Amino acid sequence: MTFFSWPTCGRGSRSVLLLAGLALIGGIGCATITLPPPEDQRAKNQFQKLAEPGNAEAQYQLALSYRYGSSGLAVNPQEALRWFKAAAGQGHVDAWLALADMEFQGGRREAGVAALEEAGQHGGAAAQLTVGTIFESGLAPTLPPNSERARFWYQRAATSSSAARQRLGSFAERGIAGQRDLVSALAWYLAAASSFDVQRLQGQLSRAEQQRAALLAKQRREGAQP
Amino acid sequence: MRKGTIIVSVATALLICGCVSINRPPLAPNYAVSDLHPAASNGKADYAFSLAQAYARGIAGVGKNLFEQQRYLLLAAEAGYAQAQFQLANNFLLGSNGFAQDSQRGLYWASRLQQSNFGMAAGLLASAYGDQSYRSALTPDPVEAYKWSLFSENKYYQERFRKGLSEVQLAEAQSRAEALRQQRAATQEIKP
Repeated sequence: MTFFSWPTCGRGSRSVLLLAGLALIGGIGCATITLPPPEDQRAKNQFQKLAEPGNAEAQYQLALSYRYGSSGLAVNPQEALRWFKAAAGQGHVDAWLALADMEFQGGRREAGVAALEEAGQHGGAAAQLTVGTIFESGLAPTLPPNSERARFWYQRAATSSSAARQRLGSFAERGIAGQRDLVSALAWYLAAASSFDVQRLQGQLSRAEQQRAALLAKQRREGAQP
Repeated sequence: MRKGTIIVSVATALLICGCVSINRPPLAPNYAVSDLHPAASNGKADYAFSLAQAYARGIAGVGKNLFEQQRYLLLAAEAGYAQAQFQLANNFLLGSNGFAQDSQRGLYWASRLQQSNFGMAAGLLASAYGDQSYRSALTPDPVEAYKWSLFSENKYYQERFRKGLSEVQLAEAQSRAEALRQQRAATQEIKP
C-alpha cells in the first residue's frame, strides 16, 4: 500500500519542491497561529446575573469589576459606585469600606467619613479595628488623623480584637484622646498579650500598680469592661 | 499525486508534528474577585493575605490599591496568619509599603508572630536589631541581635551576629537567651 508517492515530474521540479518544503518548514517551523481571545462574559454571567436580583456579594463583585475594569467590563467609576452602594445598602461591610476609599480618593471627606462610620456599625471586630486604624493614621490628603474616633472604634473592637487592645494601651500610655494612665495602659497591653509593651511598662510601675493592672486586664479580657 | 494533495499533506504533517500551533489566549485571571474575596470575607486568613498581595501588585481582577492592600494585610495578621504578621511587623519597623515607621507597632506584630511562628519572629528581630542595612526603627543592639539569632534556627544569622561580639557581650546574650528559654518553658507549662 502506498501512502505517498512523489509527483511524476522531472528531477529539477522535484528538487524545487523539496526546497520549497524545507523552506516552508524552516519559515513557519515554529509558527503559532494566534486566534482572537474569546469574548469575556464572566462579569455578565457570574456576577450580574446574581447582582440584579439582589445578591449583595455579587453586587460587590460586579462593582469591583467596574472599578478595576476586569471580568469583561470596562472601567466605569459611576457604575462601580452604584453597585457598591447597592451592596452597602444591604449591610455589606467591604462595600462600605470600598465606598469610603472611593469617596476619599475623590476628595469627598464627609461622604468618606460617613461610609467609614457605617462600615464600623455594620461590621464585627475586624471591621471596627480597620476603621479605628484608618482614623488613627488618616488618609492623606483627604482625611486627617482623628484620635477620638480611632479610640471609639478601638474600644468597640476591643472585646475580641487583640490589636485594638494594644492600640488602646498605646493611647493610654501617651495620653492620646484621653488622660495618660499607665496602669490602664499596662492592663490593655496585658489583655493584648503584647509582651514587649508589657516588659517596657512593668519597669515603670510599682508592685501594687502592676497587680491592679493585672486585675483590670482580666476584666477586659472577659469583656466585662471593654 | 496532485500538487494540492501535497500541500494539504505537508500542512497536516506540520500540524501533527507540532511545528505549527494554534493559540487562543486565555482570559485575564479574575480570581481575586471571584474566589479570594468570598473566602477572605468568610474569615479565611490565607485568602485575605493573598488578596492583599493581589492589591499590592494589581493582578487577578483588581488594580493596585494601597487602602485595600493594607486593610487585608491587617485582617490576615489579626486572624493569626504568620506571613501577614511578619509583613506587618516588617512594614512598621522599616516604614515601608505605605506604613509610617513605628517601632512599638512593629514590636507588637513581632510579638504576635512569636505566638504563631517563634523562629520566624526571632529571625526578624535579629535582623531588626543587628542589620544596619535594614534601617529598622529599633535602636541597634548587637547583643539582642545575637540573642534572637539563637532562636532563629538560622546558622547564617548566628555566625553573622556573633562576629565582633566581645566575650562579655556573648555571655550576656547567652544569659538573656537562657532567661527567655526558661520564661517560654514556664508559659508553656501553664497552658493546658
